[in-house]
Amino acid sequence: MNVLELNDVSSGYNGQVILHNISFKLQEPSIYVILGPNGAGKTTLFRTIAGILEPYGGNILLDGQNMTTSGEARKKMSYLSQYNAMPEEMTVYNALKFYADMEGGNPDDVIDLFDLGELKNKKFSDLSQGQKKRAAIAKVFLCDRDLYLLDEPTANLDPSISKEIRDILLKLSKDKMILYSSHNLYEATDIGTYLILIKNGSVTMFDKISNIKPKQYRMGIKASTDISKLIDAQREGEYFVLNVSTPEEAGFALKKLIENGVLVTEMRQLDSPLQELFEAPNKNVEITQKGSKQVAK
Amino acid sequence: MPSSTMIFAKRSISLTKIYFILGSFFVAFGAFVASAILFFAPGSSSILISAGFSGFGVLFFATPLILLYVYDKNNGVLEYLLSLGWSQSDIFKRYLKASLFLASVAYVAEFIIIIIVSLIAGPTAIISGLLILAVIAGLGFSAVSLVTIAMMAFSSLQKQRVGANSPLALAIGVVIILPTFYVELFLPFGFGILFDLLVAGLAGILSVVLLTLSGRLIRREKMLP
Repeated sequence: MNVLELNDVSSGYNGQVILHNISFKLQEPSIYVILGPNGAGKTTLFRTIAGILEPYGGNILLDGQNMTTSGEARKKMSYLSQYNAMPEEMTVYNALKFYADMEGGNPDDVIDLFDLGELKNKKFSDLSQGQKKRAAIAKVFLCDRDLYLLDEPTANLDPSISKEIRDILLKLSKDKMILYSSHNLYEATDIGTYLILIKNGSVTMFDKISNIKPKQYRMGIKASTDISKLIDAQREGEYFVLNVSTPEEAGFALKKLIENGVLVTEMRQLDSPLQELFEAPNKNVEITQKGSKQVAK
Repeated sequence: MPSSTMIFAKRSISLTKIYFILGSFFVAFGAFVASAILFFAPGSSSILISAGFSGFGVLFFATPLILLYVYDKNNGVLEYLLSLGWSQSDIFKRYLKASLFLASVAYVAEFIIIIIVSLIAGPTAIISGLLILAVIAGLGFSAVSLVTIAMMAFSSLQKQRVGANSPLALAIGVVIILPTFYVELFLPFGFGILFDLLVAGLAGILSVVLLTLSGRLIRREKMLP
């Protein structure tokens, strides 16, 4: 089992500190979503873990080896930046081979895995944004690694392509540690098992996403008639909005509507449970995973 | 020749062909001037002018590599190479090797033409031909090395994308090569050769110093998009 450990890591650019004393420990294969608003320090965190930026303080250990100085540790990790990092003038196959020649792996394997067969002889610059991203992600999986760092892999992609990419990553995450950054709350709940919330360069929360419960659920209901007389729901745009404190309360409301002969065509949660966390001000929190207890400063 | 060097060289040419065309023109013109002097006035210091044209030819051949470096920096390729564990010096060396390879293509063409012409023109021309080839090699390769390393090291000053950054790179190379056009006006042939080789040597030493210090002088974040 692989263990990634960050101990009091500070990092940044040109002497300007962006990350402040970050500490956490990951010790099981899973998808860890690094969530935070733009400018929170997600990319800086990834670049520091990947060994691209040297930390100003602290250390990063993968299976006990220092990621900044150990070539062995680096070989256990692969990094996808927000940029595609593919030679645009090459065909998809040649671009993948370009990297395979440097780091190993077989382009044909990832071409199959990411369904790039029809694109492999096309120039990278001629692909759509979604196709480019798929090819760029394929490059990261050329070699079998223990840790994958994926920095906003679905940014600027349409929802169906994002879903397609997330499904592939979910399959691959069964025995791998994947750090996946996003500023999209819905995406975080869709793909992640764990959540690492980062704000202003500090980790403010680390927990299982399933443990994160909101104080209030805002449910949107589409119905055949005006339901505001039956339940305490107010019309907001195309939905009747019902505020409840537990999912069970929403279930009871739905039951009542059906018993009164109302045809309910849609019922969905309007806000992500992560919304409150995302908008809450910074505070020191305790972070744990499987018994390892640390404090995010 | 390592295959990766060839790949970097090919990639740079596929980015832009204009420098390849310009380089071919200067190489051909330099060879023409050298040939004419070797035939009609072997031993004349005027042959140093041909070294200027040929030096420009060699420099133009290697220029696409500088553009490739900036291009790769902007699209995140350098960032990815850093994540693979490459150091700044590793990256600089890879691009430098490829630029010297492209420069050597131009030089080999020049070499073949001048050697053939010298053999036909006679013994005096052979000595002049070999000396001028030494000057072209010295000026050409040292200019290419210095320009490539300097431009890589200070690429963070180049905010423009491909194509817009070439004038500064070429200006550095021109400063090294330009004096050879005038040196024959002031110095006899032998001293002219020595002067040119001295300039080449200084540029070469500066390149080595910059390359050696690159890891310490150039921060890794300067290679990020």
